[in-house]
Amino acid sequence: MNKILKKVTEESGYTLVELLWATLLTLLVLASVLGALQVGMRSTTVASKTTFFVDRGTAAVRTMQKHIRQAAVLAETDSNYLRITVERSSVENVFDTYEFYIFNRKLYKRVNGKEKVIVENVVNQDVNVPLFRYFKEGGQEITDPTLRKSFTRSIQITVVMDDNLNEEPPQFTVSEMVALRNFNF
Amino acid sequence: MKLFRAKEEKGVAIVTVAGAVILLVILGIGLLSYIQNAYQKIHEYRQYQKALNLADAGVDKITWLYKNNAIPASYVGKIITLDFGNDGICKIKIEEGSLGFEKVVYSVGYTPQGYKKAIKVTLFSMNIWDLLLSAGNQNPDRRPGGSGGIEGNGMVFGPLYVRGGLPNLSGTFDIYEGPLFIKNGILVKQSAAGNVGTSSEPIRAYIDGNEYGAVFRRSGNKLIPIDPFVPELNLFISSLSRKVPDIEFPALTPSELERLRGVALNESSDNVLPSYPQNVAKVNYPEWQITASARVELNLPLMPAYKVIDNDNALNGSLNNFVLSNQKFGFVDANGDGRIDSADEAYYEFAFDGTQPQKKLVINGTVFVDGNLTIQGPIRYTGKGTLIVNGNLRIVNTLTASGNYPLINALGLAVKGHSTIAIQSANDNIDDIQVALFTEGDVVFTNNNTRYYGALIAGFIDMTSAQNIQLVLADALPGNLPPSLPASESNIVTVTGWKEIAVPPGF
Repeated sequence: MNKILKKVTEESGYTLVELLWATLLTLLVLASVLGALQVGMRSTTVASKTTFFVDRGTAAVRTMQKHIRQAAVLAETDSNYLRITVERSSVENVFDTYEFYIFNRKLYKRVNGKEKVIVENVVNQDVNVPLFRYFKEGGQEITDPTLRKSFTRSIQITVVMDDNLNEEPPQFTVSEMVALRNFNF
Repeated sequence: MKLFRAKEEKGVAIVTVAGAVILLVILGIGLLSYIQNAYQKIHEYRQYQKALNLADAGVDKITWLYKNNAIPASYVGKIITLDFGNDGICKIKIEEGSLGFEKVVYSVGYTPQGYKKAIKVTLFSMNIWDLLLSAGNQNPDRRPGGSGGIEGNGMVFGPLYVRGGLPNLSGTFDIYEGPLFIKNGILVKQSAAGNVGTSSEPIRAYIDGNEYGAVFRRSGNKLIPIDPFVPELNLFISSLSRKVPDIEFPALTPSELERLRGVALNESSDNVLPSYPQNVAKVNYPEWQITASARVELNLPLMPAYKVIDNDNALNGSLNNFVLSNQKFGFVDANGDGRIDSADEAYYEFAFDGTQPQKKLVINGTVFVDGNLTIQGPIRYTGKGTLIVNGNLRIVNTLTASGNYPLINALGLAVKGHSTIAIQSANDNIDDIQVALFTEGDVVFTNNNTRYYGALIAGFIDMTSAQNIQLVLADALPGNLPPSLPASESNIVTVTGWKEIAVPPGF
């Protein structure tokens, strides 16, 4: 026991150079660990954001798709506003009016005047991407709005989402084409 | 001290490891159930989508069968199963609609996993000439006020199809018999003057309308929706459907005109027997002689054949303005008895005599005119044939059949440009025009009291500068059409009222 204590007390401390090396090594190890952690954190954020937006965007697009494909009348056909009438599923000759539009970065569905947000953080107007594009038979886009009511055979819905346009990752886009079942010869 | 510490630490590791394992297991189960849930959602969505596609495929199959006139009688009124192999099945039920050419189709798609989706559609199977007075252009917004297919002062008797609505139905416009189809538009009644149907014969209406309704009255600048079944404003509608067939307006494309020119050229060649009238004994008479004399009479030195009125061999409207007025051509000894008389007329395909006060036209088969055509009446025609006009048409004075219209004698006119009908007539019930007219552009009536009896398909019917125009259907004409009229031989099947429904009982 005494021998051991003697050995410990006899050992001199670390030299300054040793300490500096140790500190440097520690810093290097910490930096690499933190870097890896940061990358991991960023990937997790991107992954969770992607999942969130794709999930919400897909649900919103599917909701619109379901109604638009049954449209009986195309009442107004703007790039960021669509008004249609749809025959009620369970009743003959009773029609509901559906509107889809973006306001304050929220995508709304309005049924007979009652509106509901179907997805938030919609930035179509910020990045200049139309919510609706109209196509005639054969796939040619109809750019003249006056021709859309007669010639539209399918509508492309595109929802662009982001919670911060100045931050990475960039915007998330969900896009689907819907054929108008009541407007095909 | 040493002993105490050793005793305390004993078993800590296993507890820590067990805790960690439990934590990981809980996290794993959570993750697994989340993934399973997401997978289930995707699976269900795909299955329902597949069931919907199967139901759609069933409707496509029925549409195809109707288009080809191949629908088995056994398909109507009961549930039929269509097998799509490994993809699943579709059960279909077809019911008759309220009009003869209207069917209601229920279609339920089943995936092999048992998911199902149901749709209901209304299907119209018709020929556009069934509508007789069919008007409309693919671009309804080209008219000030949004009038789609017809405007002015007159009366329509029979099925009327309008694209773009009747927003300005005035007191000088009546619609009788019906049905009335309005696609992409509404019906607006200005006042009680002017009838839509009558109390004894209300009409069926098919108007898709807008989100506020289908039938309106005007109050100042406002349009107020009205109950279509309350006979106010002399509006008598027996039934209103918001499902309107979407009919594609046919076009005389350059290739179609080229084809029709070829038909006329072929029919006027020697040794090609006349295609019309089909029940007449065929005689090979020297058609080159008719062409030679017609060249002189019509002053068209390069005319390729007597049924191709042209001055070259190209499709270019080279005639400019051709007037059929006081010429005489085509009258030959066709039956070979040594005389030219009325007995020869049964063999003629195209002959015209404008030298008498009552002019005579004999036409069978297809005649092509490469340019604008003016037909200067009064003319009585015999035969069943069609004039194809690669330009504008102008009809001055009467143009009617010499009896047996339209069973034996019926004249068709297919016009690439616009048609003007300028007939000054008395206010009576005597027909001024008896034809089946297709005009890709506008049909304009310029004089009062014209009574048009036949079929009329036009981009737009303009009666605004005339009074008291009567457009009357000839019931027997769709079944007795002359040849070469656009879309006369194809059956149009359109799907409307497509909607998802709950699976109906019995499926």
